[in-house]
Amino acid sequence: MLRVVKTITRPAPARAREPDAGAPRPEHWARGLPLLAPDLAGLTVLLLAARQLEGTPLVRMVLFGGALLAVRRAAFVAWTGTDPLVPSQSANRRRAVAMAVCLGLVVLAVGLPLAIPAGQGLAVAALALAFLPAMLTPLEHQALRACGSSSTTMSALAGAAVTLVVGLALLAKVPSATLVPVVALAAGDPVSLLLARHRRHGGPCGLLPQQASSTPVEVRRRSPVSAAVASMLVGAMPLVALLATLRPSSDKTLIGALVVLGLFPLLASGIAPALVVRNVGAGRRDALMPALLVSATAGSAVVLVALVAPALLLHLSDARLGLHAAYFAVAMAGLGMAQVLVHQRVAEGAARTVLVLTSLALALQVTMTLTGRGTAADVAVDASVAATAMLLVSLAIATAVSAPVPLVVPVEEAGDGPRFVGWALLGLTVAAAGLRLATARDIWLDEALTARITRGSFLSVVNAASSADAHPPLQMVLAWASRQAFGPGPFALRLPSLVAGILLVPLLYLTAKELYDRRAGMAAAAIGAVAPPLVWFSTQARPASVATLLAVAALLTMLCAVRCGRPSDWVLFGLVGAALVWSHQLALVHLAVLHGAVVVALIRRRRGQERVLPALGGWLVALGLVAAAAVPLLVLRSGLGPPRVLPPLEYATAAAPGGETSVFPLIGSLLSGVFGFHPVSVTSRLLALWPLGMLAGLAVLGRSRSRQGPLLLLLATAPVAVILMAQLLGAPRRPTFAIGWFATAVPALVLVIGRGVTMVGGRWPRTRLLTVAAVAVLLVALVDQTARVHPLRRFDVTPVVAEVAGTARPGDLVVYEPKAIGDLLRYKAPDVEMRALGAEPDAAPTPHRRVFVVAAFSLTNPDRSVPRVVEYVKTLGAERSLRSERGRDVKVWMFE
Amino acid sequence: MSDATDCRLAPPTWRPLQGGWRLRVARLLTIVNVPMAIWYLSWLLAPGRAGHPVLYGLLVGAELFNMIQVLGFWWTLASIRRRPPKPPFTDAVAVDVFIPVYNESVEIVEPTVAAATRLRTAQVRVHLLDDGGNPAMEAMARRHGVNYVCRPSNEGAKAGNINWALERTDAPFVAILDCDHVANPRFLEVTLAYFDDDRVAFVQTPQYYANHGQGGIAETSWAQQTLFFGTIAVGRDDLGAMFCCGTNVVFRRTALEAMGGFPTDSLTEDFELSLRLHEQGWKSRYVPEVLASGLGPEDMASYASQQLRWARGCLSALPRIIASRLPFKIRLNYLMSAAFWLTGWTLLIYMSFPVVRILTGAQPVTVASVDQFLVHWAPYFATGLVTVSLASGGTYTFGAFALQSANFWVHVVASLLTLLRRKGSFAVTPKEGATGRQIKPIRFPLAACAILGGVAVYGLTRDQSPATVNNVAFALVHITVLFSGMWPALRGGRAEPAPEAVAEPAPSLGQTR
Repeated sequence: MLRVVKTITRPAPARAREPDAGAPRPEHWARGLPLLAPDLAGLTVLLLAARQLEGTPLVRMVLFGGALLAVRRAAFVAWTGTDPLVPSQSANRRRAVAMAVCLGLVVLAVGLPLAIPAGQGLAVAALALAFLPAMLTPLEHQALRACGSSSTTMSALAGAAVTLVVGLALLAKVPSATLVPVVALAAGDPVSLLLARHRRHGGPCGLLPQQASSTPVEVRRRSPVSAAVASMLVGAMPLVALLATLRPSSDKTLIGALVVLGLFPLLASGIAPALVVRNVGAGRRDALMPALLVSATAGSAVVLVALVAPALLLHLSDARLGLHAAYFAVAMAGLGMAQVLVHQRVAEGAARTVLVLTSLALALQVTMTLTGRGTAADVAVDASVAATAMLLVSLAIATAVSAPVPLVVPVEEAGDGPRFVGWALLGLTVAAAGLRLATARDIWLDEALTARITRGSFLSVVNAASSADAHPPLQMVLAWASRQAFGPGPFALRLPSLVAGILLVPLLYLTAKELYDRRAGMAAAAIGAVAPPLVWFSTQARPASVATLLAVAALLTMLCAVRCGRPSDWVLFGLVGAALVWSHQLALVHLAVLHGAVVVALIRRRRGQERVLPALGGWLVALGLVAAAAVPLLVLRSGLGPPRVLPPLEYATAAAPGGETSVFPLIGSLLSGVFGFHPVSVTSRLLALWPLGMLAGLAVLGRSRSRQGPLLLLLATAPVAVILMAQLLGAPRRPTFAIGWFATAVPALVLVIGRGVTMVGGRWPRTRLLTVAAVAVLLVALVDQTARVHPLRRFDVTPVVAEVAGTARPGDLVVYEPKAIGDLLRYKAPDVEMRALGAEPDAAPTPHRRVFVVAAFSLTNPDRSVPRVVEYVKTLGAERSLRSERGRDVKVWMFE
Repeated sequence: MSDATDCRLAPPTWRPLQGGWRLRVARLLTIVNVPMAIWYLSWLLAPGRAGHPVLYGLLVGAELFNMIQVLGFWWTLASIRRRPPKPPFTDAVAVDVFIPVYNESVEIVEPTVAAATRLRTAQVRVHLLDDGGNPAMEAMARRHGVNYVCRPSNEGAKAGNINWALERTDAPFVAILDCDHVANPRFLEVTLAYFDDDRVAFVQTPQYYANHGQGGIAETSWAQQTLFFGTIAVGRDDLGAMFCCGTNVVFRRTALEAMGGFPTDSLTEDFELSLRLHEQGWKSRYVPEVLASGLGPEDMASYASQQLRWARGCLSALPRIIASRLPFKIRLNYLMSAAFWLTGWTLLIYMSFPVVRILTGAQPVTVASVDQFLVHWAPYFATGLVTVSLASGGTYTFGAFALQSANFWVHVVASLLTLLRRKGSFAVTPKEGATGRQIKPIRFPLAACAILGGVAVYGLTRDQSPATVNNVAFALVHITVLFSGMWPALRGGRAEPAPEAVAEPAPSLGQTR
């Protein structure tokens, strides 16, 4: 049994240039051999499946990819002897990338003349592209052997030659030009290796490494065989689904397509942490949470792409794939996250535990796949979901329980800050999830819009969201994906908001920690977990929750980019900004503040005689990404958005102060940004406490000022100021002081409060006490919001709509006024014919058994709508008999 | 106090005009402040605004008084002109350095004497003016080779002591250092350079509290001083209205003798002397550089005693200022300086409003205009607060404000005593803090807190309407401010150095890793 304990000192520039004492020796081959295991396993399973799937082009492509990878890897291992325990150096990585690019070009140059006559030109191009990730791992290992450039080149060329020969030979047999599996499988395996080994020497940058130091980091690598086998088992899990094809009358093409689709989220959730978060493979606990967050985010994004893929890439209809694709893609994204945990545990020397857990998960998957009831596709998906969930949960528990390092900060590092950070965060996240699930309400008007838009196809969602909603369509798209996966219920529609709201808690911690320290982080996370407006956002199928998450992520990535300046940091900042632009109408205000802060930081750096050119370049890239996202959005939405959209009615609660010419609406909005919605009696008393603001102003006198404070205050106030200016200037779409409009400001407010708590509290025990007090106050506010806040009676159409939906049957007609309530009616009674008054000719609908007329006068201009409704009711009354007439603010007539 | 622990020997950690760009912004803000003040005032004085006429009158009076003070501050701020420091004075001119002593310990005085003997440039003749007749002090003076002066009586307190020495010395310049102020060797080198104008009577330098790092009263009282010596004094200098602060000052002997020495009939002989000198056409200068390090009051009793003496002295000078033949600009400055000691009355008025409102329902402005009050008042308050913060370079703290508020009674008592023409006695500010809880100096703010708290509780039990909650919030604000100001006295014990920053320093936004 190999047992290796290595101590690495970061940074170690001198060592990077030293010739490796352990030059390639035959015994290293043995260490490298386990690398073959995943590929060989994958190949075995593929070959097994190939016997069943012969004749299906798609699956043959899968087979080709797997064989390609396995043979290439085998060639490299045999030729060079790789050592999975050797850490990498960035210089060698760059060399390896350059080499891979060169080899890709060689493949193109040699392969295309041969392949094009056979109609396989695109496949060869894909193969060349696949070289970049596929060649990275063995090349790097080889480079690290420091055995000379000629040897490296020789081994690389040999591997390339073998790959090319095998690839072309297989391609000649495969008539399909579907490129997806080639790229996916060829890129897949190196990702896990990147994750496991390439980041061990990560520099001082990354999302978390504030304390960049030269402290020796002990990296323990135990049981490499167990680690390799465990890695093999995880790698085999996506392919186990193919075993379902052994079942009688299975839809082999469908299952093959599922596996291919699943590889995308698997790759994304696996590769993104390796690219973005440093030290993730070195067993550093502080890198784990960002890695998981990045993994989840990337996985979610690609799940979406994977759901679109059947139509765009594989020419498979949505109907054929149905919900299977969504479930399987989500499972594979989860598997990518599990890979992060696997590498974390392996890096910490718990390879055997991981092996046991992965074996159990794989056993469960195989058993379920072979013995489960239902169609083959159902069984394959169910088994994958169950096994992934089991693996993810068991690994998470093992990670949480096994090592106290990430969950409890060591005494010597804790200083004057909280120690049980991990446990506290875990608890807060769980509590946040519980609160958000417990306080959900029935769908109502605003959310009904989401329900209507997400009914169509993907493109129709994008189009409809652009024209029907005030905000850009990102949340709609996510809700659509969730609906595809989990059906049309409220939970599915609200799932993106819920997930975003839960993820916001650890993200608030990370951001406040990055801005200030762990104390502020804990305070912000605790406040964010219970803050009534954030809980409200999370329970609404509206864009606010996703926007808050992205707003905080943008701030965090901006901080990382400014402080670290790695190209990937800037790209991430740009990508998050781009996503934010697509999530909220006022996101550009938030981003303007952030980019302004970057400019200020660059100017200060310039004044300090520091180099600004790299950072300037990075910033321009980030800005370019935002612009690239904003321009199509502006074109798609014909400017800032549809000119006539329903104002956010979430605000139509008893506390809604909007519209009056008084300063209290503004203060009330800011209050609701912290305390949420409350009955008038509470809100008016809260507003009466304004003198305490004077006290707060006095209290900050003479306090030391940081640059973070003004930034947070700007983020918290800029959207409100923009809305105020829009109101004062009489902008065409006068936004009200609705909390949803300044959603991006709410987390900034939470961060400000978190910082305020630490400022007042000082040392951690007192800060903790103050945090608990703040949380208690907010919990009371949350209970009040949940129990006592209801829409204003004149706006409360839900009971009437529910009643109509309960009474109306297929064959009936519901005519409604105004259009705004149509979405809710359709959502509640999808089988009943609906018609807006005036949308169709107002002729009496004789074929219908019963006609319901629903009129919510408070939501429209009564001077215009009342006469129309009355006239229509009179017309109906002349032809049908009136059975009932109920309601006051929202009236319902029923004719038979 | 050994040299190793004497904070006065350490280099100063503060310098005047720390504001830098902040000061420039603060001066720009004055352009915004004036219209804000006018906007608020025009709203307040608009017809139909009055609620209860008496309360309204009190509110208007208090607001006008404070606004005049604030306008004076903005005026001073706007008058600041940065001037290059004069080159050091190098002529060997004779200077008498007076160190008046009463009953202070030798440990306090000895570093002052030792530092005075090391002053550069001039032919320094150090005189230890001991009104206490302490033999140990005499021995210490002998040890340092300085002239020991002890007069037969203590008539005229500090002023009389200096005058006695003045008659027995003859150097053309006289420097006065309080017994706890350790002078920098450059003290005379810098200050004498400003006597190039024959009409300059005295040159004042900041009164730096070296013990401000000990926290408590020393820290907060120093924070108050920073606003004066850091910003206001600079502006006063540019307006030609800087007055003498009694220590760290160099006089031209001819000017002093022309006035017959220090006036002995005032509790603030320095203020009175400055007034007379300006009246006679003499000029004053202020050097914004810490050239001597002293000790500030370390307990509430010392602080209150010092404040009461200053308040009584300045308020008793009010009639003199009004009747003086000073140029208008300088007279206005003196008036505002003296009237500052009436601000405690305005706080008393403000504190009474929530009490009266909760008990009787009467309020100064009409109910319907509450949110309009906020619209008009909040910008004025906010920009004013930002201006103060920026102008002081962030050194004026909430603690300083709270300490001043908690001593509102000093202003009230001082003005009543002055009005009743009660004679006061010169009380030396103790140089070492008392230990233990000090209730007596905070009995008035304690009573105010009790009344405000009691009325707030009563109001809430009777009625929880927004109006009551609003007044309870006001009461809470007052209670919090008063309590914060009283806290050092309530806590008791000697002040200790402020705790070090937390072990986990917050990174700067632009910090590069």
